[in-house]
Amino acid sequence: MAEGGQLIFISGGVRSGKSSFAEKTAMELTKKTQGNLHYIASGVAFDAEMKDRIKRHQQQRNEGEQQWETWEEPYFLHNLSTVFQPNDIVLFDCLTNLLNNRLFQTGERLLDPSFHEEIKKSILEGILSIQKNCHTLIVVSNEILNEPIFSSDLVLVYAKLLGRLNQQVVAMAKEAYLVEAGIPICMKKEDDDLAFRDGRSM
Amino acid sequence: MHFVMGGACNGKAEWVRIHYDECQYPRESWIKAYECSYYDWLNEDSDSSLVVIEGIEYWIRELSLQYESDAVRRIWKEALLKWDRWEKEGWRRKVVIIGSDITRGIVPVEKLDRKWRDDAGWAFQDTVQLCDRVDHIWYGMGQRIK
Repeated sequence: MAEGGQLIFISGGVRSGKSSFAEKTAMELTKKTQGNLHYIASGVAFDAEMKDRIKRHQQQRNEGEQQWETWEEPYFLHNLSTVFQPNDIVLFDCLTNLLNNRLFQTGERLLDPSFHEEIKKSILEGILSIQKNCHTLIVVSNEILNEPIFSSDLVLVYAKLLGRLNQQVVAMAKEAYLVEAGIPICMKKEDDDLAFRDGRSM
Repeated sequence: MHFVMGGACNGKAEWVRIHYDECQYPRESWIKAYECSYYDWLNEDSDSSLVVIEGIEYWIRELSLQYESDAVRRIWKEALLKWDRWEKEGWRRKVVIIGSDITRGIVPVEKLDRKWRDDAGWAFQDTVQLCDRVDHIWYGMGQRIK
């Protein structure tokens, strides 16, 4: 694991409750560290409906006793690497959106393998740059790799990139959770020596 | 036989690589189902001791396009039984089967894709039945489920 803060990975299907679990985890951690709560949103508001949804989410997050500071960063997490304090908890929602934005930012290099490597490297470095400068970074991702993916070149590129990113974040993370219908299943916890787990964590 | 399953691009092959490097089988053959036909596999008389078959969902698709679902399931089971016998007949032999789960997306628009998805689901169930060990891989993390 990199020096500095710790990393938690949370994934799940659409409406699985992964975001709520991530928010709850962040709020509980903040109580312990006495730091501030931050939310990095990677969604781009293309239309009024999306703008409305983002606003509603922001309001909902701040209805509780703890206050969130929201940062909108659709492309480069590095831009935020200096804004957090060592006891702050940062929630990043979500990796899939960021990958979308980066991949479709420029049209012409869409199928260029060196471009894909650049994006992957840059996203991972962005994650590390934030992790280093806060107490805990929680990364939210999506379960979208359980269907046929060879429908087109582009889908395959996207699937491979997301699969790689998720694998690398899980490998760096102290904890990893898969949320199924609101129930978080712990897939990785450092110092976890359960006999049936024998993956690369060893 | 050992079945390793999980979503696409989740690091299944890499997990198998690492896991079986430790076991040190003398001769291995790694078959990629997306690079050859199901029938090539069937006819190969392997003198390897470790046989890894990666991407069985492609062979299920090949069969699915040719046969009714009942037949797909029967043919696949027969192939598995054949490899199970091969594994048990010789000294220090192992068959490792890697499959990507394709059953959790939105219902496919094309009828043949729907059939493939059904056939893959059944074939995976039969494979689990016939394997002594099954691991589920999630972004590189293995969890033994049988």
